[in-house]
Amino acid sequence: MTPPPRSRIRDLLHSNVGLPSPPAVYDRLVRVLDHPRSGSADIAQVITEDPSLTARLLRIVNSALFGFPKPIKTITQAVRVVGTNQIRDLALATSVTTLFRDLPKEVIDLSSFWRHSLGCAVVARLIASHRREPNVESFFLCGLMHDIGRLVIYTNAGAEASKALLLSIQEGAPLHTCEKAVFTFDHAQVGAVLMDEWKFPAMYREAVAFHHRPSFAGTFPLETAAVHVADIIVNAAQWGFSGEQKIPPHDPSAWEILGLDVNLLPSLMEMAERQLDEIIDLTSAA
Amino acid sequence: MAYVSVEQTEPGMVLASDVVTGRGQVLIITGQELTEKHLRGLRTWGVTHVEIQGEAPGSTQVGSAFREAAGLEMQVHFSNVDTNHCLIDALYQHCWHRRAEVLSLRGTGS
Repeated sequence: MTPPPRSRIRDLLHSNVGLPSPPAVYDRLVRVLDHPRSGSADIAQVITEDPSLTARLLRIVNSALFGFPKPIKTITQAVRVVGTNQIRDLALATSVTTLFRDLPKEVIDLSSFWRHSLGCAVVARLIASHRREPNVESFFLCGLMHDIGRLVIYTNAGAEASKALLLSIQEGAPLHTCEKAVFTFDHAQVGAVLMDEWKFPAMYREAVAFHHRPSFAGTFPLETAAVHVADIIVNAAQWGFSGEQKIPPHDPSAWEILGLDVNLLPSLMEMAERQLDEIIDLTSAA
Repeated sequence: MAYVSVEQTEPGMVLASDVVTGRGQVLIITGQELTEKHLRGLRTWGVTHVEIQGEAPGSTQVGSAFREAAGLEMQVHFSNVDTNHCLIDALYQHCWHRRAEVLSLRGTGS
C-alpha cells in the first residue's frame, strides 16, 4: 500500500542532505514575544546578539521599503517604529535567504530563485500596504517562503526534479503539475510540511500550501490570495526564475478577494522593481 | 497599435481597446477619437495607460518589428492563463510593452 503523501514528503525532507536548520534566531524571538512581560528592549537584545542580522535589518528599515524621513540607528528604535511582530518577521526573512547555499548550478540558479522569491515578497507586501493591512511584513514573509519546497526538492531529489522540469518544458505544462506526476506531490505541499517542521505559524503553512490553489485557503484567504497574485505578477515580469517556464494558472477568486484597482498595476510594478533591486543588494551584502 | 501612458496621450489619438475602470465598467469604447475632455477624464478616473491605434509618439518602423517579436514571446508566456481577465490583460499589456522596449534597446545596440 502506498504511504500517504505527507509521510512521503517527510521522507524527502529527511533524505539525502536533509534539511537546513530553521533560522536559530526565530525560536528565541518567538519565545520572547510569547512572554507576557517582554518589551521592545528584550526583542532588540535577541537580535543584537547576531551582529550580521542586526546590520542587515538596520539597512532594510532604512531603505526605500520603509521610506522613513529620519535614519533609524538602533534595533530598539526599529522595533518601536516598525513594530515587534513586523521586526520578528523581517528578521526571519533576512535569515532564510542564507540557507540552502550549496546547490549545484545545473539544477537551479540560486540567485535567480531568490530574485523570484524576494520579488513575490515585495509584491505581496505592496498589495498588503495598498489594502492598509496592519502587518505588511507577514505578507513579505509569506511571499518569500512560497516556493521554498522547490529548494528542498532540488536539494534532496535533483534527478527527479530535473525530470519534472524537462516534462514541463516538453508539455508546456505548469511545473507543479509535472512535479505531481513525477513525485505524487508538488512543491507547495513540500513547502507546507517544511513550515510545519520549522514550527512557523499556521498562516505561513496555509499560504505556502495553497499559493497555486488559493480558493482552498480556509483560514487565511487574504494572505494566500496576495501570494497567488504576487506569484503571477512576478512570473509575468520574469523577475528571477524558480522553475516555471510560463505564467502558472490563475485563480480569479484571488483577485476578487484582494479588491484592488487594476489601474494600480503599472505603478505597483514600477515600485516593486525598485524595491526588489534594493533588497537584493541589502540581503546579499552579508 | 501602441500601449501608452496617459502622459503621452494627445487629442486625435484613437482608442484600440476599451478604457475600463478597476471594476470592469467601460468608460470609453474602442474606436473613440480622444478629445481634451476625454484626456481630462482619464486623469480624473485614475487611468494610467491606454491602448491607441497607430504607433506611439516617437516610435519608428523598427519599433513595430520589436513589438511583434515581443508579442510572440508574450503569447507563449501567457498561454496557460486567461487574458480576458482584467489582471491578466493589464499584465499582458504592461509586460509586452516593456519586453518590446528591451528588445529594441538590444537591437539598436544601446
